[in-house]
Amino acid sequence: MSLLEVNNLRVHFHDAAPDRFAVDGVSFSMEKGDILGLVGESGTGKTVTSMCIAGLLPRWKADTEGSITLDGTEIFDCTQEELNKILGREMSVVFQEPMTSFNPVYRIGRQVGESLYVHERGLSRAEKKDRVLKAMKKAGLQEPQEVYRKYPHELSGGMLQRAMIAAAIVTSPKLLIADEITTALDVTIQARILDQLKKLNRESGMAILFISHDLHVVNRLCKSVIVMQRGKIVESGRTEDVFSSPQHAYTKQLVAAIPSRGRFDE
Amino acid sequence: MGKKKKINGYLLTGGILSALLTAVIVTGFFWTPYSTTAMNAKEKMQPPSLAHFFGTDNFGRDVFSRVMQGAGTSFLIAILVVLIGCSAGILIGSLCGYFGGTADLILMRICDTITAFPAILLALVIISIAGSNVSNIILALGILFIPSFARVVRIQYAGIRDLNYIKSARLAGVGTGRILYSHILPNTIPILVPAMTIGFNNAVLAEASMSFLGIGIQPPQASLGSMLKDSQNYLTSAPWYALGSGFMIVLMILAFSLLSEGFQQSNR
Repeated sequence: MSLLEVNNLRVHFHDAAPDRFAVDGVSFSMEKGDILGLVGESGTGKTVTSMCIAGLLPRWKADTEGSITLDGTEIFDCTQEELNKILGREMSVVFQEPMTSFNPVYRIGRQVGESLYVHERGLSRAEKKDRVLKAMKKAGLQEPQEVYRKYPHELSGGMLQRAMIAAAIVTSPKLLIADEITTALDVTIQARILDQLKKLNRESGMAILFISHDLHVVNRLCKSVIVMQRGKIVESGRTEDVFSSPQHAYTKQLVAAIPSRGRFDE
Repeated sequence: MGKKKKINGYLLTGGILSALLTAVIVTGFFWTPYSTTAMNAKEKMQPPSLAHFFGTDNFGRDVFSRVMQGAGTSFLIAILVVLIGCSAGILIGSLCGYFGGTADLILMRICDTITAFPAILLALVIISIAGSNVSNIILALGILFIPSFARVVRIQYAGIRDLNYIKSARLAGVGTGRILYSHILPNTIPILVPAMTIGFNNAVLAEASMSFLGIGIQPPQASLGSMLKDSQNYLTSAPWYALGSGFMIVLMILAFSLLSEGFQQSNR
């Protein structure tokens, strides 16, 4: 049994034309320890797919078909309470925009440990703090003791993004969905975060679904990749194969649009 | 070079005045210079002096002592009214703002309907039905204050519910109750505190108006509104009587208005 199985996922927003599907027949699976890249231009259905996997797409907003199972649990059949038990424990999600993803009134330490408060209530305050500090260190935050006491406005974008990763991994989830997490960051910070994700994947076997429109970043991190266009999967396979010899016209366009192709071959 | 922090004059003045007033009022609960109910025919209508700061009334009672007690009554009533209005307003406003939908529409229209009627008139109706005593006055005014708090809270919740940090909390598996009252509520405080101080002022005014009309605090218990009403007949012969209670109402409103403005300025 795969860790994550997405079968024939279709999403139709209520305010869209009847024949316009945001996600149209998407199927893929992930095993433990996989790093799968989901690429495509903006508006192609990558984030909608991730929202469906996380059970975040409100039913009043869109109709969904197909099935998504995480470790054998059908996400679409889950009640909100059941979903709350999965989110933050079995599966964590990190979005872009780190500057706005932390509550401005609470210190970073408290917010990184929120999943522990929800899912592991038996932990003492000291144990919780210890786990939070370890997660911060794993996410590549220098001086976690300092960061623990800071408020979000006192940290840079790169530090906040790493704090978000710390919040996502504090409960050691089986799957991490990283949606455009390096988009707003400069190249050096991007590289450090990618290295950190690779390290986490290597050490804990945590599967990562990495969503991005930046092929260079995907090439650097992901073992396999799925290319999406207008809600459909147009190509998938091992990252090296897809980027070195793209088959679909759209993938060829995407690869050709990369300004420094030479780096892919390094 | 560090920038010199600008002093918030409103907050400072309002804070000092409110602290002084609160000290006078709290003292009034335990001690007053003279008895507030004992009559003294010999001391009737005495002008302000060192023995009686605000003079005496038509029954020879010390106006300052009665103002201390009356202000305390108004203060307690206003605080309880704000507590009732604010708690219920937070509950209704948070649910309406966070979930929206039909329940939001219905509850907000009920709030509109309550707001459309003059508060004193509605309070008068409630008290006529339930009877005139302190707990009924508090309850009536408290109910009438719910819509103003519910509206402020609803707007805040509707604005915050879709922000990324709330999405992050949901993604961490946080339940709705904790999101409502642990994640969103603290972010509404900068708006809620000025609303509470404005509500406090309105409650002081409403209680004084009701007592002035004779449907509030009943004699012999001192109330700023009823003292103002009684003093009307002696405006020319003993103006200090009206001035004492009037001055206290103005001072209470002024102090908490300055405090409210100060909070609003510090949030900008």
